[in-house]
Amino acid sequence: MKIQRHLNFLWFAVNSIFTYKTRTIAITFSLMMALMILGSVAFVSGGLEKEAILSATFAPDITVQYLQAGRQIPISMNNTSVINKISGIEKTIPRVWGYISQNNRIYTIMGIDPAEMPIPKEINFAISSGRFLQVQDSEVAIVGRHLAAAFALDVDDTLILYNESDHPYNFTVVGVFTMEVNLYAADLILVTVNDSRKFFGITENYATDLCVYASDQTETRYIAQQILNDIPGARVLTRQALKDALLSAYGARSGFVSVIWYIMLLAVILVAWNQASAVSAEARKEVGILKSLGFSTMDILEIRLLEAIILGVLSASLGILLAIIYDLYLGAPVISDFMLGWAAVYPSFPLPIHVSVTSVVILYGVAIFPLLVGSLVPSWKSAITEPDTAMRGG
Amino acid sequence: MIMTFGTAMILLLSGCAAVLALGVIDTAVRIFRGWRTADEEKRYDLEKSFYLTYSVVCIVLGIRLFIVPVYFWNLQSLVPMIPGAMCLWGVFNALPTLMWPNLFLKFLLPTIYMGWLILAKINSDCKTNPLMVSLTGFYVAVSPLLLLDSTVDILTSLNLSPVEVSCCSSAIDVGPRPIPIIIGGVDGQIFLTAIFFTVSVALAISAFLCMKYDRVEWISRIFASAYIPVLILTMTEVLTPWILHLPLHHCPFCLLFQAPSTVIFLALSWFAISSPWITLLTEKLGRADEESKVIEKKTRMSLWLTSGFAATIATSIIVVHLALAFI
Amino acid sequence: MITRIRLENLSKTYFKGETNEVTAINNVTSEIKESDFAVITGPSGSGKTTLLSLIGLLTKPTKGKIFFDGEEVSRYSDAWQTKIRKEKIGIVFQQYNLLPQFSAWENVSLPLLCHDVPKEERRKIALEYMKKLGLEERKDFKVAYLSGGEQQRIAIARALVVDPKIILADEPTASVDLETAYSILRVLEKLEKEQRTLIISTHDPSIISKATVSIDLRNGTVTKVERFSP
Repeated sequence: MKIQRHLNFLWFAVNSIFTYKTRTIAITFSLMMALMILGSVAFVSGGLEKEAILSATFAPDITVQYLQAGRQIPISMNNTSVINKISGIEKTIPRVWGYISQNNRIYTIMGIDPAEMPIPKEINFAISSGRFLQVQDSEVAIVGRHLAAAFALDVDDTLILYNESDHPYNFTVVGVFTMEVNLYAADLILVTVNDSRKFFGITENYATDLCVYASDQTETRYIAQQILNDIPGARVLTRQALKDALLSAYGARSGFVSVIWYIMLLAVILVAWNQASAVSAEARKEVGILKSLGFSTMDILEIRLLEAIILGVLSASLGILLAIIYDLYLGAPVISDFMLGWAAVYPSFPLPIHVSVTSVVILYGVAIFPLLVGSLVPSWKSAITEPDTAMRGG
Repeated sequence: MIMTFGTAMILLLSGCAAVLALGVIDTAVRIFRGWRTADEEKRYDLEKSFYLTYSVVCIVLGIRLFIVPVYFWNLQSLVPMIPGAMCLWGVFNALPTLMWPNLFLKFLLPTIYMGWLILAKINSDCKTNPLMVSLTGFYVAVSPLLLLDSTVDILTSLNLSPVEVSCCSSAIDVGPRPIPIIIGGVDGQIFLTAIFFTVSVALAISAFLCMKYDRVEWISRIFASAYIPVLILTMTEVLTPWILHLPLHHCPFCLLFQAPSTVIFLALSWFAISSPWITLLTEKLGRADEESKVIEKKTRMSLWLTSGFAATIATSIIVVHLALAFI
Repeated sequence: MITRIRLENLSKTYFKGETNEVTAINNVTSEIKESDFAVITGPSGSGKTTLLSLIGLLTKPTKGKIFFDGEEVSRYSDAWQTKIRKEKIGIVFQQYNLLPQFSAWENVSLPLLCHDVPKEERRKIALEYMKKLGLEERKDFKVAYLSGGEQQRIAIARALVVDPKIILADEPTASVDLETAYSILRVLEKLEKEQRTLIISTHDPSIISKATVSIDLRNGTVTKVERFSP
């Protein structure tokens, strides 16, 4: 197939873009801004989803909590034997956690049993310095990045926490969580379950919730249903459900913004149409000259559409770059507030973003195709100019 | 309605495609019906209209082809939002009346779209638009399918909601299965694999032979058609369980998700199956004058070459996967 | 000699059916042979440019027929006519019509863009023709930095770059000085010797004196056709 002619037209189209600067700037600027917003939403959404997936990896297969009057209360350890009787259960481990207020901030203290709790291999991605909890540990903690920064803590430093009775407890920091889990671990203090019991004054007969691990992941839903049947009043959360809830929320928010963005795209298409239609006499004469030199109507149309494609690619590239800067260095103000949207107020933290190949491809697609649509009819009208306009002087 | 970034973009692009496709049908009909009986002046006007029609259709088909991988990517991203869904199977079952037929359209229609675009390329390589009438007529015939494709995408985007669905195992892993048992009892999987490799190798060889011998063309097309049910059956009954280390048949969507290179295998298989049929289109519609005959012949050779290479590479991917699975 | 171009009852009316309807060419019949150096003469507004446009297939006649080498090209589709224009016709405009965003050699090579010719080869061919017209040193100059005469010679080089059989020129010496007009005339004479068909609309007596056939137009109608022996 002959492609040299098309490469020649591409060269001509690039020259045209630099010749008609006003049109180029108007279309590029408006499309770039539109794509910056859409790209920002896509990248923030992708980052939040990725972070949610990584964070959910550390959740147990099933979490069993106890509710009274709609609020969570400590669950009796007697339920462990009830749960363990269900077929398909590998083990049930207690977890003791709660909140503390210190220096006008709320932190979460989570106590786990490192001897019993299965540690997923992704732990390597979750700990940036130090190590995870070990079986023999006592009075040690792994802290979230934000907390470490707030208290200027590093590995081997001492963290002093005060419980509700104002009694101080010393913990040696043995690890700090990474940025990748920051959304959920920013203010987390991970300790052993024994230390947590001492701190919160919860006896060995109770736990905050029970972590259930199944032998076969595909059976999780059925086991969860069985637990619900066997322990009335329990709230049973599967890892999949937790993950799905988060992904669903982020996905829905990005979808909402994307639909609102249609209005912005319509404005851009109108700008493109307007600019393409405002073809000066000089541009019409140029078409006449080209046709008298042997360019066909299809050739002119191809050149005009190539111009639209180049502008689309240029705008998308700039828009994506700006979106990354907006998200990464400015923290995506307005968009991040909407995307996170929790009732709780988060402390400030760097927003996670994820630039996936698919999102980038889609952004290029929604830059190029609508621009082609907007420029098509004006390009055609220009292309069917009679060649004798060149003879008649336009 | 589940509205995500991907769904919103599919809605946007499908809407654009539908509006454009609809807008140009009338002009295409006028050109197709009016060309032969038109006088010089009328033909001159029709020719000008053809340029617009041609450009619009190229853009519409470009959008529809672009949407195909985006559609599947988007469905995969919707898995967490459909309660009970663990793979694409679950998402399809959230709106089965639309989505299963849409799956069929997503494999069939791109063949037709590629056919039109290849004919359009032949036309543009000629100096005198010899395929103008063929292209507009072909578009008129295909436009209902184009509109159907866009409409189904729009309806799917607007109607898909988070309903409770069952996992693929409730459909794939239950009940007695006639094939591969009836082929060779317990060893039926091996026989099915043998049939799969035989058909894919035969397709590749026949496609390469078609570059030299016209007489083999219909044989290659028959192999291409036979490859479809063999592929679906083998993927479900053999490739998915063997590659995922499961004992028996399993949902092929699980394979596509867990072994992403099989997506490339499937895409190459599509090329291997479609190219022989696209050559039939170019043969019937792409030879209006001497110049177009020459260009059409070169194009046909390229298509046969594509089919042969695609089948070869696709088969190689599966061989590698199976080898790794058994090591 | 073979008849290259034949015009049969050719008419062209602009804005037909409207209040400002103008008949620029009315019932023109003429023949131009293969190696003719034809001039079209007549006062301003007589239809010279329109006749050239019709011969160059730049516009469609309202009535009548145009034949190239015995084929009726006036009834061909727009695509066919473009093909003929691309391969057989070179046009030199009165106002040069160079594209200001391109350099001299790029302007000369423009017709080659739709001939599948890569950039290096285009440059090579363009420089060849520019050398013949004494313009090699101006190859990278933008149009704005060229004199009128140089621009006209660039326009001629552009018309020749596809090696056309037919060259149309609309008042090629109208906007240039005497010396340039003389050099253009020499170029045209050389072209005539290369067995090309030249059709030039002009008032210039020095060009008219070189013609082998003269077509005189008054109010869109041919009043006189004179054929001169070489």
